[in-house]
Amino acid sequence: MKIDKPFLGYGLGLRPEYYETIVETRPAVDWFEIISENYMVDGGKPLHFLDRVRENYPVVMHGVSLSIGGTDPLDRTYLKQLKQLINRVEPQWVSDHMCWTGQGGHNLHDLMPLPFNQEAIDHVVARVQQVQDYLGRQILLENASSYVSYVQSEMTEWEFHTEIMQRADCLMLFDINNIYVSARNHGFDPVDYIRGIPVERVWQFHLAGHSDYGDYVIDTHDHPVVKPVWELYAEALKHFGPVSAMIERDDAFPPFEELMAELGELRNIARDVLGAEKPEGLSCPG
Amino acid sequence: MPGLKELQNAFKRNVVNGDEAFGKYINSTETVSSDVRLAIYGNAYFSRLEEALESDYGIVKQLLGEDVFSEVCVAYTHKYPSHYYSLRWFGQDFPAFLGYQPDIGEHHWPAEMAQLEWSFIGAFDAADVVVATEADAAAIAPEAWAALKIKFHPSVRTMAVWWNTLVRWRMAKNADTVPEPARLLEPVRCLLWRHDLVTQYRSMEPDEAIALQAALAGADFSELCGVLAEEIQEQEMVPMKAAGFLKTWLAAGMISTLLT
Repeated sequence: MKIDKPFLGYGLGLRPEYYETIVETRPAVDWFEIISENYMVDGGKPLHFLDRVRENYPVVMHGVSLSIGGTDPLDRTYLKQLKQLINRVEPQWVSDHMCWTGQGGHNLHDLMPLPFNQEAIDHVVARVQQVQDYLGRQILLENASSYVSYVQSEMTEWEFHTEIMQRADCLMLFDINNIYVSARNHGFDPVDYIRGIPVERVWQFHLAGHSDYGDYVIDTHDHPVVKPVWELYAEALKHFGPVSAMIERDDAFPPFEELMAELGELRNIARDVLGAEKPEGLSCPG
Repeated sequence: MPGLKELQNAFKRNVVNGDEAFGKYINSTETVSSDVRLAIYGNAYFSRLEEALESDYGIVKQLLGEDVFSEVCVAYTHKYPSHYYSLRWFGQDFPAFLGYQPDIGEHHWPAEMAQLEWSFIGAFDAADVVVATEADAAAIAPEAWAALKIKFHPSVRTMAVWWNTLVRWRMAKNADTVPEPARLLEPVRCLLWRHDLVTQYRSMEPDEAIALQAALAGADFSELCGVLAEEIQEQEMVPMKAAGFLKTWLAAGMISTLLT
């Protein structure tokens, strides 16, 4: 089946620790993802290196501050600056998280979980539509990892995401590590999650490491990807087919070669499951 | 059951103040209680904001010590909750919180060190502009010099320094032995800016500081000379001094436009 979604290949998060290496050596990375807020500044080093990287690679934008599930009004200043950055970067797509980040004007700077109920769905759908109208494009929303579940929840997380995506006509950044983390924390089967999401809505995969405390797991992005997450990635490929995938690393930064080795694993698993790294029938923007 | 807004408000109170009443809305499991689950968010909140302050104020942390800095961060986080979408601005009130008083200098050294570090951040990501060169100055007609105004690079900023903050910052940055904090006999003016991608700083002699303050405030070249004439004794040296400062600022990439 031909699915009409762009396929960028295999990417990495662009982080300041690797700016010089990336610009000077032009590594064999298909694309980079930026944290949007890190470049919503007036000038200087961050924008300089972003422009240099953009000259040679496709870039996607990933935000942490949209607060799509928040109950404060959408932050118009933020949206305006986001749009300005979109115009500068011309990203393949723009994403944020299914979460809220603050309340009453007080920003917690965290990806706070939503209750999975009809009130939250109606609320998020209306806000996604506002954001997509303002930006003039569809957005991707990532499943955030969570450590609590609410007594108010009425459905599974994948049912919640699916209804929002279908009603708001938005897309999904499918974070495989977050599904592993939340499955461990809440006791659901991550494969049920994978099979519960419509194939055509998922445009991007995230993989990352986490911290395992035995009884619970925290999404920290400071370790290599673990075997069970690689296995879930293979399972996700079987369900979704080829999807642009990347490794996130946000702390305890290893030598760049180690990230490139993880990127190689990402390609190898895709080749094993799909029979090719870049299957035919998908567009690969340059 | 509370609605979404009330639920988020109660969760926020739990994160910030440990409000236990919220726990009844959270499921516990056999192995992990709702209290433990909620503590993950509470701990993450304070550690994330402390990390942001550490990133902005690394030398303050180094010189105050980890424990004191951590206590100060918790107090700051309670007093100045973040109202910005980006952590970039969370630390902007930290110097004031530590008691920084630029005009009268009745602050202790941590406040001044914090102000220095915050000024570096401002210079680091200030807007990019094309800088003027000495060739631009050479092209100015002689009769146009009196009314010449200087538009500076957006990264240019100054601050009063009442303590031996500059030498302590430099030694700490280079991992050298840092001298004890000491007040200066007279305050000096520190200049900070960004040249290409690198932030720069230096202290200024009083005459340059006065000239720069006047130019930053919008004085034209003749007004700048007038301000300098009040500062230095050798009146015949005034135009040469002013032209010398202008040359220095141009060479340092501090000037974006010479407006005639």
